[in-house]
Amino acid sequence: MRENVSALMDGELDDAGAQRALEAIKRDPQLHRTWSSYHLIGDALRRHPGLAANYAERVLERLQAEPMMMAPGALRRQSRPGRLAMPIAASLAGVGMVAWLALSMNDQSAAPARAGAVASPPPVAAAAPVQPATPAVPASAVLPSSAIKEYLFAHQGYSPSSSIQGMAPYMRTVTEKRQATAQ
Amino acid sequence: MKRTLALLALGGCLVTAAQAETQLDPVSWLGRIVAAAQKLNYTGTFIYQSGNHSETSRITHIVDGSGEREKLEVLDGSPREIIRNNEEVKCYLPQDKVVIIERRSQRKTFPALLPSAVTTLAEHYNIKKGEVSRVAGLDSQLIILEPKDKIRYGHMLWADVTSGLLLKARMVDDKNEPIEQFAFTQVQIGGHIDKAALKPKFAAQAADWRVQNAYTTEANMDDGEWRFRTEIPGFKKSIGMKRRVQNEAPEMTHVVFSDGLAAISVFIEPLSGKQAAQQSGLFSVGGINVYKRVTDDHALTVLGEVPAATLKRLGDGIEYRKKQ
Repeated sequence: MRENVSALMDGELDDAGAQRALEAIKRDPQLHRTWSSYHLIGDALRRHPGLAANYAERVLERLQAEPMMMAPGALRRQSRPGRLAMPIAASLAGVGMVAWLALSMNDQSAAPARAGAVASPPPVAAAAPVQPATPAVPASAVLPSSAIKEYLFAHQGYSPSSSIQGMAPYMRTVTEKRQATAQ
Repeated sequence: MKRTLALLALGGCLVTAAQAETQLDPVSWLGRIVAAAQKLNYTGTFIYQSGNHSETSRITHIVDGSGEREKLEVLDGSPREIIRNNEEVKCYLPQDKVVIIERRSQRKTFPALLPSAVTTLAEHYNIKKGEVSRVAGLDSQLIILEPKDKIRYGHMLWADVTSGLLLKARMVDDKNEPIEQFAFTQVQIGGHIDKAALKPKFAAQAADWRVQNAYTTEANMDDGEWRFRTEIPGFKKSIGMKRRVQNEAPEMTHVVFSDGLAAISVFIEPLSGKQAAQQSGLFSVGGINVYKRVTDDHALTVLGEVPAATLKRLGDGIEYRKKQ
């Protein structure tokens, strides 16, 4: 059956096979763990970044919010194994995610610490004064007005630094450093 | 089937995902940092330093059903706030009683996600891994992007080993001296983050503030009135647009060049009488250099997170294309 679980993950089973495999996973806790581990390994290898902590919760929420088909005809169609396989696979994926999160929390002793606010003094490097770079060309004095803010703001939206750092680089657009350079 | 078995075989070596991540090559790390910046929920306090000036800010990033939302709140000095709601960014400046609104037409993702662009990045930077050290209480992997010329600055990125989130970033000059630095002192990654933290504090007060809503329309600059004679190696035009920075201001041209990591913006606007006396030359705001110049009755503003000389080189090569 383990092989079937693996084949199911790779999408190599036909409708009937998928249905049997999913039934087996539902019944057998051992198989269920196998299913979760396969997903965990796959995620690790694909280098998925850490997901939001409430990911599984959201998957389940979405599933619950899915419109339910009340018409008898639709119900009949839904009861076909192939139709059923997807929602089950999705809910299992949700459970798998919970298992994955639980595992990763247990495996890393650092995990509980990071969830709470880790207050630590700024790293030494951060505390060291950052010397201004001397431009290769002589810089003229002070920037005349605060009008430059709009330009900086417009620029920041198109700088790749926003993709790497999120909004932190916007700090440049509002910094009061300007006054400091008015020497 | 075979794939899964192969995964399993490899899986044996994976004690924790985090340990595996430290084995990643530096370019994959860049991809991981970008993915983490977009997908993770986090909140924390960071210090921005430039020269001997430093400011503390709080940042919160939440991704949920309504998309990506983010807030940056400066804790020192005047309480400035920047709020992002997907592609719309609003900046509240209580001291000036101004709200600046900017809509990004399309967010250009970091090229590390595109293999061809990584090659370009590697043409101009030596990308390597540094040591693992602690930042804000978390183990972080240092990734160094060392420029191969003096046209651009060097970048040092410290990313959380476990999640990939960037914890510290430093931009350095050709002598490896820091120009500016962002560093978290405390950060919470994942877990419950109160959505109320995203609310603008000044939304109500700002009702009677001056609103500067920037209107932009993307435009192809290749047949425009302006010619960029000097090409800066590695910097390619990433977008061109027509914009109004201030409501009453005449339309200006905005062209962005990027080498995949740093960007240069060129603003060209017709000179009105009162601006005629405006200063030309080089300036700097935080880690950003600014070069201003007047030519053919137009004011040029060239700025970006690159050395001043690069801006001057690009700016001096801009000329008005005479109508045929």
